[in-house]
Amino acid sequence: MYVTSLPFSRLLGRQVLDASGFALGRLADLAAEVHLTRPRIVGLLLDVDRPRVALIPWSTVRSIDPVVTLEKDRAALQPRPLQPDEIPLREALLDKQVVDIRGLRVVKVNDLFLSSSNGELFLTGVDVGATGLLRRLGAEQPVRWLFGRMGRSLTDHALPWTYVAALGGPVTPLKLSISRERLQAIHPADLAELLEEMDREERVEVMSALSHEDAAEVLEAAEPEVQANIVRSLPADRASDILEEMEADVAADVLGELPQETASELIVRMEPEAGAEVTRLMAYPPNSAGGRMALNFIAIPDTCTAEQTIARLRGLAPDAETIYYLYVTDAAGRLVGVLSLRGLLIADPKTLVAQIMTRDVVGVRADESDEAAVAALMKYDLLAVPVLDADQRLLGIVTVDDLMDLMVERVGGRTPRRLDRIRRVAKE
Amino acid sequence: MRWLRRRWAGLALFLSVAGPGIITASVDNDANGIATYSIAGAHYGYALLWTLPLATIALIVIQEMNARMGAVTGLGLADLIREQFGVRTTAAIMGVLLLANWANTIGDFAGVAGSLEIFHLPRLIGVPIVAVAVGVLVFRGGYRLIERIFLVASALFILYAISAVLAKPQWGTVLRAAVVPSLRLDSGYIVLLIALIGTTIAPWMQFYQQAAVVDKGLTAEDLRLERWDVILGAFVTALVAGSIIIATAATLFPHGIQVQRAEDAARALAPLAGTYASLLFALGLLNAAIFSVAIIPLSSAYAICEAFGWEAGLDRTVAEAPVFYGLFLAVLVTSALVVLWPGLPLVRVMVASQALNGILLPAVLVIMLRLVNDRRLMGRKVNSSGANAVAVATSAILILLTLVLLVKSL
Repeated sequence: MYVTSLPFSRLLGRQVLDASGFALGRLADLAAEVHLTRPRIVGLLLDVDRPRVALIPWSTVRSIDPVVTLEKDRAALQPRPLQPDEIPLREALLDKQVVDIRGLRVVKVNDLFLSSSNGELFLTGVDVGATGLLRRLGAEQPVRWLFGRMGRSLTDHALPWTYVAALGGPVTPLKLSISRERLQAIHPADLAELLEEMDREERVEVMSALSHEDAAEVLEAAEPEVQANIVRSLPADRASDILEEMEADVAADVLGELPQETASELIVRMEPEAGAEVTRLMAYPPNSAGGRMALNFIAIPDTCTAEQTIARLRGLAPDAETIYYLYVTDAAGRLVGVLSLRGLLIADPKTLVAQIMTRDVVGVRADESDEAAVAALMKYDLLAVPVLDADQRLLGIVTVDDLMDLMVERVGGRTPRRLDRIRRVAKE
Repeated sequence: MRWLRRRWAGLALFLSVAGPGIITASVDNDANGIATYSIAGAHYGYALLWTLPLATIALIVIQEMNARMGAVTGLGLADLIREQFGVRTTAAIMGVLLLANWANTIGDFAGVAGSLEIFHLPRLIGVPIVAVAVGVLVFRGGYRLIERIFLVASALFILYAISAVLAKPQWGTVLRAAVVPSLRLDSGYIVLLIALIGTTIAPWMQFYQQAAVVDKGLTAEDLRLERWDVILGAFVTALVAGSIIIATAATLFPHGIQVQRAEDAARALAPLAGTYASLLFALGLLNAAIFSVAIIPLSSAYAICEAFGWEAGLDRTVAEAPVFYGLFLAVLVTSALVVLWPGLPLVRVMVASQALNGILLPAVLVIMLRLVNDRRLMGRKVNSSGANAVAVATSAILILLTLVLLVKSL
């Protein structure tokens, strides 16, 4: 596919002549049909056509070397408007950022590679290296020669089109289904990190390309400032849909970063139940145990048997933060004991949980500081610690994940340098 | 790339509290600025004061335009130029920026040398120590420390305002000089005129402020508040500049003192600080100089990497962002080396760097004007004709002054 690749920048600015040799103008852009693997060039745009609306079909092009020659006379040309599934390459791709989905990087497009096959021209790759920059500056040949003299070669750094998720620029945002599929192949945690490297419009593009569930997962993994920025830039109904899908405690943190007005507007748009949960969490100061707790814990009434508890667990477990601790509550919702998963599994099926649970539970009050919760986790070697109100009612749990986050925050705000760069290598 | 946008945040600590406009304005009063204002007052008295109100208006208009561009597009200036004008224009503008910033860094190193000379520390020792210290602090992640010290210490410049009042200038004369233009055609005057505009509205500020606006996540809805932030920032700059000019014009000009060394300019603080004037001045100048010596090479590296899509950011390792650290070091080290040249006239270098700012500014302004008037980018937030007129007039005046200077030096 790369045998006869032609850099797009070489074509730009070439003179366009009609069949009689009349100069129509210079080549300003090429339009390509959107396609998953091989976008086909459908026509060209002239520099004299400032608003770039009159597409001259590629079928009328006779040759492109050394100038672009058309088969028809200028009177017989039938320019047509750009269709919704066609993109102007220079405007939408050149000098813009794209996601390299294999290398998991955000890169700048320095040039595009076109290849011809069966008399048609296809977009096959993007140049993201220094060669493309030098070519556009007209310095490729001298630098190649210089490198040659030093006994080295100038290597192209090109990505095949199939490894690229394009987002478009501020003027031409691309709402491309192909980008959607490619972005979905990236792990949410990696995508969250890539978001940091994108600008506002690109972030909005990415978040709109994903499903609510995927977008929520990506947003959960993003840095707090990025989270707040994204939620502010998205349309309100989209933002509230995504917030709904997020863990309530993370959603509350994100909303806490926003101006109060914006936050309450978003909460109103959320599903009543999710909105109520978030509002409840936001009432606690961010540095309290209540501000840090998660709501998806497993609570079992003390009247259940071990057998019934296991059945319940099947229903509750998929969403729970941890399944290793089962909290036992009385009829009033007060925490009366805790049961480990191990204790549950080895117990006789007919035993009541009240008989096998540990009654001596370590818990923290919601208004205590989050450090108290973390101290309890560390001192008693727990995976999670329950958060209680003044009446001993179970409100939520603080887990070791929160402990890790807190430690990182205290140490320096961000993940240590070297850890920051660990990214999953994408699957083929 | 855009990940550096967030990292630019490292360049401006008070971002979460103060606005981009006020921060940019504080950084704007660097050692070169102090030197330029001091010379203007000492050599020409109040005769250049009239440029200040005009330059302040231009500053407000241009920085507002810049902030608006950042808020509406969500893109940094370097990125925006690259996306809209392609590689060649970007390379040219980055060349201009690098040249101007290199000159500014040289000027600020001259400020380091000048203030150290007041402490009787020869520049051959002082400048390398500062260069190494700044390099180590930036590489080891101590940049925020410099920034904190600077922003707190930049309040020192208010002392000039007090000193200006204590010098008991004839306020009537000052007021008249501030509104009645007096144009002279000698080269020294014209150079200072260009330098005064160039130090007030510097090319690097455009990249710096727009990045700060984008970093803060401001949108078109925040523009009303942001406008006030820009205006407040411009007034801070004007207050410091005006105070220095008045203080030096009232204390140095009547005695015909020519500012050859930093120490000469220090006497302007004498009405306030008496014998401690030199010490105070040296501390203020050293603080501003060291900070700029860190920030200007850094912001050059950020802007150039942003434009060409190279990895950048102080939280990257050298192996991850070689170009970024390479550019920073190159600007820092070569500037320091230039200042080590024996007998280099420090004060004149500082003023010359600001004149170069003024000469190169039109290139950046023209590009900014094209961007901010592009309806596809800015929608209904394109420039008003008034803003266009002010920006075009500023560029035209600078180009005209440059031409006059060129003709006169032939």
